Amino acid sequence: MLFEYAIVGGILLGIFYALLSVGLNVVFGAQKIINLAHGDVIMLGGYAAWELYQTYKISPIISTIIVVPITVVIGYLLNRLIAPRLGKSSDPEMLSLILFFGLSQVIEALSTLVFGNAERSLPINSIPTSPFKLFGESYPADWWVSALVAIPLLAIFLLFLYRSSVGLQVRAVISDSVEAAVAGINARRISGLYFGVGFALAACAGVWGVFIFGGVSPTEGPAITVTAFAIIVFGSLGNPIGTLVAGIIFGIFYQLAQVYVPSWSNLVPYALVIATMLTRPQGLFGRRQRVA
Amino acid sequence: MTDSPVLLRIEELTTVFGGLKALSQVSLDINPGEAVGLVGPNGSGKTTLVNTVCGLYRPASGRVILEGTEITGHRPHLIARAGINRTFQIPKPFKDLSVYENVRVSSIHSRNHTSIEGALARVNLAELANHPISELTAAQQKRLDLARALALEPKVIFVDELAAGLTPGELHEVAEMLKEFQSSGIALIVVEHLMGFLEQVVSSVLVLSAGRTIFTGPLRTALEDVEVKRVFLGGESDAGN
Amino acid sequence: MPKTAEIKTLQNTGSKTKTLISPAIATLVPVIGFALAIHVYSNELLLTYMAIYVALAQGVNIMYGFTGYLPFGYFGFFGVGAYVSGLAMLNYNLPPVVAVIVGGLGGALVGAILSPLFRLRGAYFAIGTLAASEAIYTIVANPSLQSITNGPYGLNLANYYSSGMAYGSAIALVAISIIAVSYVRGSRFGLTLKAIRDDPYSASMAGVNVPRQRFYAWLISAAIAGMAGSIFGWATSVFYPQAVFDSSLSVLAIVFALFGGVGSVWGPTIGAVLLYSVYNAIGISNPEYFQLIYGLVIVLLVLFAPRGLLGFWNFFAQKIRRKRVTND
Repeated sequence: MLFEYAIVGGILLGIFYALLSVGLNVVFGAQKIINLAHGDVIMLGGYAAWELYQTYKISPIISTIIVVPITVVIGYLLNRLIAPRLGKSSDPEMLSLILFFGLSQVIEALSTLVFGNAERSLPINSIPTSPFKLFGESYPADWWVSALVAIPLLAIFLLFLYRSSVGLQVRAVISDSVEAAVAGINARRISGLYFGVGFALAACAGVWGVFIFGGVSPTEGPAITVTAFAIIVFGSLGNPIGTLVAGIIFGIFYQLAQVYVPSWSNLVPYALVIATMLTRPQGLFGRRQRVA
Repeated sequence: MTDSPVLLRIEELTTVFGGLKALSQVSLDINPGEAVGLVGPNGSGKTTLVNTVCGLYRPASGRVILEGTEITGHRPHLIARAGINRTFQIPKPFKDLSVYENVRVSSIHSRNHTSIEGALARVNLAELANHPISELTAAQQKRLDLARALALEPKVIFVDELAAGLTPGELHEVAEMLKEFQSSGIALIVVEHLMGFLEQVVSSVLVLSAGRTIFTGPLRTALEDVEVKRVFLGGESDAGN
Repeated sequence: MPKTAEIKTLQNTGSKTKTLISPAIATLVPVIGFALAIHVYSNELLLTYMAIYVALAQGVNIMYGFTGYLPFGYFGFFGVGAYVSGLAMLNYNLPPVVAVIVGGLGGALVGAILSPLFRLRGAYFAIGTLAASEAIYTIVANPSLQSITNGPYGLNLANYYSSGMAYGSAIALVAISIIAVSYVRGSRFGLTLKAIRDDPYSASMAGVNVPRQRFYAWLISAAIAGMAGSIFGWATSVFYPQAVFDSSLSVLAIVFALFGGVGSVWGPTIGAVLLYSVYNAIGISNPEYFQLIYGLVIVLLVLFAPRGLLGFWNFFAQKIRRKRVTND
């Protein structure tokens, strides 16, 4: 019974983890930037949900939609601000890593100043509360509700990327930005927009992180970034579909560890990222070797 | 600028890389349906000229005027949308996209949303539309490059080293395509080493050497010009001496 | 660009005495400074921590400044050092100074174990080391290992506390770290790495075994962090695992090094002393203000002065030099 519980719970949580990580991969795809502030964007999404619920009694389900346009714009503007300067440097990848690390510190500090150190959580009755029952086991409401919200979000994202005209331009720019420009695509605008989409996906995950992580606090960012990074490396950098599968596998691993060796479960993301990097650096679904 | 007959005017274009003039005061006028060859030894500035006109490099001085409107230094995507398009010496199609999607990328920003099928048909790739890029031969990739340029409703196409690596049969097929483009009013600037191919497509040439124009005029005359001969045969005769 | 390379080679072929004197000054000034500071400012623990951060910033300098590999997980060696030396004192009753050296060896050993991470390129290496150090923390702090590491409850070294000795060791570590940086900088390896930065093609033919030298630099850097952690544990006397396996240790060390300017001998020392003083002034009561400041400093450095304070200085010095040349 424990095993089934771990698998079903792992899949439910894994869908959330897919949403949690996919934005990091999107930002990476946009400009080969590793967004070390990813976890902090997730944290901000959590605070947005908290404020919207506490002040305006807006359901987190609605908040998930509200944060999208705001974070797309923020991400876009940020990208337009930094991309030209990074482009001039001799080692843009390393510099962007340090830059986003600095940004992460700024966000964390500002959040502490604005929201205080204490962890904030939302009442569980702010979302549908009935637990999910399967094979005689019941799962917390936030697990299945967040999965139910994540599935359409991820589906819309994939439709955008693989079926829309803007998505086609995104894929063209990722493939070769010079070729894309010569084909009439405003590569800067498109990659800025895609960067914003990455931020938006992170913020959406943040709304649900308040429930899954049991609250939101200003310092949670870096640990989330590492977990998300583990998942996108495992599923292949630059491949969003790989991230979705990797998120679910991660969820299952994590739940199995929680059930059988709970004190070691925190080791899962670290072990996963190191093992992947050293044994199959291109990830599960990667063709080209990008990290070594 | 009333009824200017000149489609594209390149005026004394100069491009500098780190103090070195890769292109020095090169001028060229081209009219609709015209085809001009752009020749010169390696490193003479042919591709620099193409890249500068297309907005990938910013010129140090000089002007590029398309149908009376100056577009010097505009961003590459705007120049592409305005109707100056190109192919690459080594085709670099979007590898993760299908043949059809590759052409669709260009079609999105064409002024009248060109027909993707039409562009593919004009380069005989219609039946490969839904194939992945990896299944195309080198020659088919070159034709795909042409289809991508066509989908942008080009007024001018820079054709960069199209002939290299093609079989005689493929060469003939591509030459016929280029002539068909010309007859539909598209101007062609053909960067080429292969004289036999050039002769089939263009009647006049611009010859570059070390970034400077050393000859403009009919291809026939160019082949007899002393200076042109010196530049082209110079390398070989040096080796012989 | 070629101009700076010329200037550098001119400096490198400069007189031998100069190459010995300037590292000596760079080592002695901070050492004497720390030795005198205790008579002016009596908070010994704070000065010990400052010295530890100078050493850590120089340790980051050895890694990132000369090899371009940024060790985000640098704190892992610090924590390992604190635990190895602490357990050496508790279990084997080693004298603290010997335990500090053992802690350094422990750091180097973990460095050797993690060396396969060098297969990863820049940014991936950075995050790989971070994950590795978090993994080490999770293991050390694990309740299942309480019999060995005392799990989440940390170590109590109060019996070994000795004011003065710990501070002296910290000053010695500052000297060691600066000498190590000077050595790496002046070695053929350091020169090759500098050449790689200026011209990656020609330098690959210089005949230096870059991976092996990089491995040595990594071990030295890890040993410095291990000793720094050992001294930290000794001086603090009671610590929990999250205090020595704290990612903000790497964060601060990296920020101090970048702020002063990596690749130089003075930069990280200046950066650590200046910023740690700011930290003391405002960071302890209002850590978030300090975090905000250094976060902004990093962002501005990356965008406007990627070579740090000293890079800024060199930039202006070079402008003046160039002006003189053109005026001639």
